[in-house]
Amino acid sequence: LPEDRGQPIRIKADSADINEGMGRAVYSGNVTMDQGSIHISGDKITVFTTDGTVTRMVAEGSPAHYREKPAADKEIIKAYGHTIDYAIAREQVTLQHNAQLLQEGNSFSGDTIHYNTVTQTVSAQSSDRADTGGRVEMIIQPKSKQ
Amino acid sequence: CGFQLRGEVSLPSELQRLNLSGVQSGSPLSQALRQSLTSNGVELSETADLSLAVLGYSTDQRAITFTGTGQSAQFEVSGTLRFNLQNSNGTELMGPFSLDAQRTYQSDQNNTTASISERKMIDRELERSLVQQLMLRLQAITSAQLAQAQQAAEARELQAQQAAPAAQ
Amino acid sequence: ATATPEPSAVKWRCLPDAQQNWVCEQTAGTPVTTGSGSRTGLVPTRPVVASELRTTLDWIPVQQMSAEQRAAIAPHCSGAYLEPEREGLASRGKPIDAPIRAESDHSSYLAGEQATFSGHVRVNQGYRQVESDEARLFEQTEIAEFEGNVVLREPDLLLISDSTRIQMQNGRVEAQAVDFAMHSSRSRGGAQQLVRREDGVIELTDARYTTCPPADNSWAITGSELSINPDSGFGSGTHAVLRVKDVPVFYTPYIHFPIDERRQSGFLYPQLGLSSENGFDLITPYYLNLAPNYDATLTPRLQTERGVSLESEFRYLTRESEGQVGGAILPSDNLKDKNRNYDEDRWLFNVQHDQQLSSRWDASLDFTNASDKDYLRDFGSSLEVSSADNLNQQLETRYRGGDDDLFWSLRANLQSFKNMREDKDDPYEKMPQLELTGGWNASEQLSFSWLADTTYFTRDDNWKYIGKLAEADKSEFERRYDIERSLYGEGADELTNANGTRVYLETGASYRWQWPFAYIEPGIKGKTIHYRLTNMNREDFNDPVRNPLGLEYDTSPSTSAPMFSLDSGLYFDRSTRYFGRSYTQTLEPRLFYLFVPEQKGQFQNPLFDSGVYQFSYDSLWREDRFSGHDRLADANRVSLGVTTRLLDNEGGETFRFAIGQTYYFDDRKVLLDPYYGKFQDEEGADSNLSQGRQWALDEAEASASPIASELVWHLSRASSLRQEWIYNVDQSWNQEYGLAYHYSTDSARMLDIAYRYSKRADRTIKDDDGNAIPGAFTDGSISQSDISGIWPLFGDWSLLGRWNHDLTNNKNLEILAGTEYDSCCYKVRFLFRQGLNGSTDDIENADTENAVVLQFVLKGLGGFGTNAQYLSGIKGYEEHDKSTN
Repeated sequence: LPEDRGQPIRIKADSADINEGMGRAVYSGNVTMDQGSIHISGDKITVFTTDGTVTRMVAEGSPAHYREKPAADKEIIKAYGHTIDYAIAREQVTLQHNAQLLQEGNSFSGDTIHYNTVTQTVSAQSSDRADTGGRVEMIIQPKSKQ
Repeated sequence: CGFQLRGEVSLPSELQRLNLSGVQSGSPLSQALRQSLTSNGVELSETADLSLAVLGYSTDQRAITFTGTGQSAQFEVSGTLRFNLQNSNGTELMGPFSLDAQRTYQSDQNNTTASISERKMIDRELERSLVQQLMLRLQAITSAQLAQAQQAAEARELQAQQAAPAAQ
Repeated sequence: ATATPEPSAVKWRCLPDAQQNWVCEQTAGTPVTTGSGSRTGLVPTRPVVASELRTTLDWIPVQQMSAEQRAAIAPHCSGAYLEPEREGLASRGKPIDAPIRAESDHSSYLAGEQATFSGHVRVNQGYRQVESDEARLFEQTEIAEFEGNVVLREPDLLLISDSTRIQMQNGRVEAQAVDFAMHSSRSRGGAQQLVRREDGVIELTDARYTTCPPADNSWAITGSELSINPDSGFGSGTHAVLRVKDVPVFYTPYIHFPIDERRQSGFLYPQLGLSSENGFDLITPYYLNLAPNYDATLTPRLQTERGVSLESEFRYLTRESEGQVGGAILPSDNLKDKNRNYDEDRWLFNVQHDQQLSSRWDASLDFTNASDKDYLRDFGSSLEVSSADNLNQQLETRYRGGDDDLFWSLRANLQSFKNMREDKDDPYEKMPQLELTGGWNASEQLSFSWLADTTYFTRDDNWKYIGKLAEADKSEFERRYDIERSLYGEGADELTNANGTRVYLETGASYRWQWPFAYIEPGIKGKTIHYRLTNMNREDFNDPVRNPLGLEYDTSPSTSAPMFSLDSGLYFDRSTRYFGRSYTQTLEPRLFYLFVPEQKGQFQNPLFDSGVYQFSYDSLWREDRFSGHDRLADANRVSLGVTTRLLDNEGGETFRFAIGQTYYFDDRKVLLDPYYGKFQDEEGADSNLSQGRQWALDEAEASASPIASELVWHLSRASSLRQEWIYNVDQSWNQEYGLAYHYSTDSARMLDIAYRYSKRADRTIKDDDGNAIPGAFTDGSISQSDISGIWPLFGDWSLLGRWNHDLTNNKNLEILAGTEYDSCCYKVRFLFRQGLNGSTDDIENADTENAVVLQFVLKGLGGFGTNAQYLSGIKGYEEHDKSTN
């Protein structure tokens, strides 16, 4: 939700390695992060802060999960990916490696998915590296079913 | 020379009660079939398990010889009878068999109306010849062949049901 | 810095299930999401694949086909369009109800607005799949736009275009620069612009359509607008041009053609011909499919010697009735030479209608009429048609009552004929005929039968063919153009001019003992005939010329007679071996005794519908010597015959031979022609009876009938031999002989060789003007050979022909020689035909007609039409034409 940004961030993890000086904190061991309707979970979440405010979070997992309710009348958005990079300032979530995003019954998958939390645009790329050869896939539900 | 009087021609028991279908009752072909079947010990009834189904009967006439000036002199009438044996729900057991017979008759130059009466007689004789061939085919069917055909038909019916269970 | 993922190819795939919650499963390397194998190695870029597909259009050459696919390809084709396996090919239901699954290298999606894809885009929705370089889906309007090498696939349709716009919710497609193929109807085409409407009809502008395989430009139809309707199975177009090898050959403002086999006839192929009588002959049929159950064919025809004519045929089919109405009109025939109908309108009209009024009651109408007697000979293009003597004009209705044991049927029949011969008497008409027949199977052995027939016979007063108009009486014009006219008048013998009502009653009973080895069936019948004659004037009866037999004037003659018959037979069997195969051989002797006491005075009865049966093996067992009901033939004879059959283990008759003869205890007194009787009464006065009448008299006094035999031998599955032989012992000559050999393996190979002989009285020889030379006679017997067949030559060429030769007069009755080139999408047939047009009874000067015909069939476009009539002389040609179409 738009007001999530103002909410407090609560993180639970098995262990934490906080390096105030570097402005970086690494939580590991089934870590969960909640901020308002946003929920991220994964094996490891690295939180970047500049002068006390959290500017970016990177979660890793197999896969890591991201959930958010974009607006009161919209369904909860769910996303997965080996790494989920949540750049709060740029309001951009980037999911990488076997990324998967589900929005209003439509689903996207691919190597890299960019999701703008404000404009709710989703764009997906397949990586050009031959080895993974990933393709972007999108499923749009027929109107009758939505 | 080895010929003996024909012994009891026992049709397999299932063939002794037949339902005759595919012919309009009262038509000459139906009468010829009925008369030949009953006189060979077959009881005809609607409720019999097996039915003898006439799939098609057609006659066709062709001029085969001509006078020196190209007028038709003689006609050839050929008749074809197609039939098969079906079980109670209409699945084919044996057949389809196709029988044919030919007759020739003269085109009466100056009395067309007489030629039409001759053609009527020829049609009756064609029907009798085709029905006779049909009887010979029936009498050659053994109960073993019939039993095996019935199993094959049931297997086909089962398969048909499985293939399209929700065929609504 | 993003963490480098482990190299595992494990992928998560989550899909919404029915209740909108997510089902996630790990999928290892599913083809959908991970790069499929195609990525490895040098993958041809999409533009190359698409442009190549524009030419191959899913055409798979036969070498790369499985045996089962190979069996299904069309004759003479080197391959077929096969849809490749793909996701969604088998999915049922309308695409609108299925989710859209899009896959590409890059995609971006604004929720609820628009999704764009680029790089090897593939979009699947139900059974529809579209691949392209770029694609845009607009969610609100549910419109999808595809750009660049667009390949659209639906079951039975492949469509390649530069750009395509699809309305996902109703399936409307608009595409530019299109190449398409429809697999099951074996057709392909192209268009500058294609629109596939919501109802499935495909509209093409600047279009091209053909059923020729890719890269084969044998023929194509191009048109400014073509529309193809897969549901109705038809295509149509305006300003269509037929191009052969890209050369425009034929323009038609409107064209209508089938695109699948549902309806055999379609645009019937044009035919070009040259005939000695009609000159250059161009036939261009148009086929109009008005509705699934009725259609029409319009056939304009140009004959340079005669003029332009129009033929039309309208056919219809309903649940209880079917029928056909046809007509042809040639305004003012321009041909002068030997044409009785110069400058007159020539027309033919026919209607056939069969109606099922109820399960027991049906009615039928069969009426044909023509402007003149020569119509069939002038316009018919086969001996079968031109040899027809009469046009049937009949209205008949029948009701069948009772059940299987006690049955009866009442038939009402109005029948007359248009005599189509210039040299033959008009036959009697039945105006009306009421016939009640019935039977009762009282028990398995005892059965009764009855027949009551009341008919009013009539015909035109000038029914008798008198002779030809003498040269002197002809008009100058008729003399100059050698035109014959016939003279018709009253019959010389007054009795033959009679019309009137005849009531015929017959009732009989028979009792049949039946054992497996024998049967005996005695039968008795009573027959009676009563006439009420008109149109006979009393004075002529006193004139010896008009009443040569001196009959008293009697307008209500009648005759009655009882009949006793005894039919009996034995059955013998044995199993034997012939040609290395085991058979059951039967031996079936048969005895048939018939007794009918002679009834005198039958010469008073006119001859309405009675004639002499042609003697054959069957006539040994008949209850009558004459057809029809005007004579009650006396009989005191016994027929003996024996039949032997070889039955294979399925009961099929591989071989049958039957031989028999009738032995007469009394001479036959009742004869058909009154004259025979008269001379016979005067104790064998020698007379200058014509040969035919003398033979009939000899036959009536013979003590035994000719020996009759028939043979049927199925030599193999493909070939059979039939022989019929009647040897007249009394006169020691062959009376009838027929030998017919038939061979056909499949519809591409057919051969029929037949010879027929029929002993007939001598005939007079005619001089050049067609008048009989007094005293000059020649053999009138029929001795004819008839060889016809279709045989493949080499490659796709086959030879077809017929040679029907009259050995007695050493003349050819009909010669057909032609070759046929049969390729995958067209057939060209070149034919030469020479046939007798049988206009006069004058054999010496019978004129023949030569015709050269070029026909071509655009396969899949045209069925066979009136043009196959040319070939009806070749036995079995009909299925050949149908199967290779």
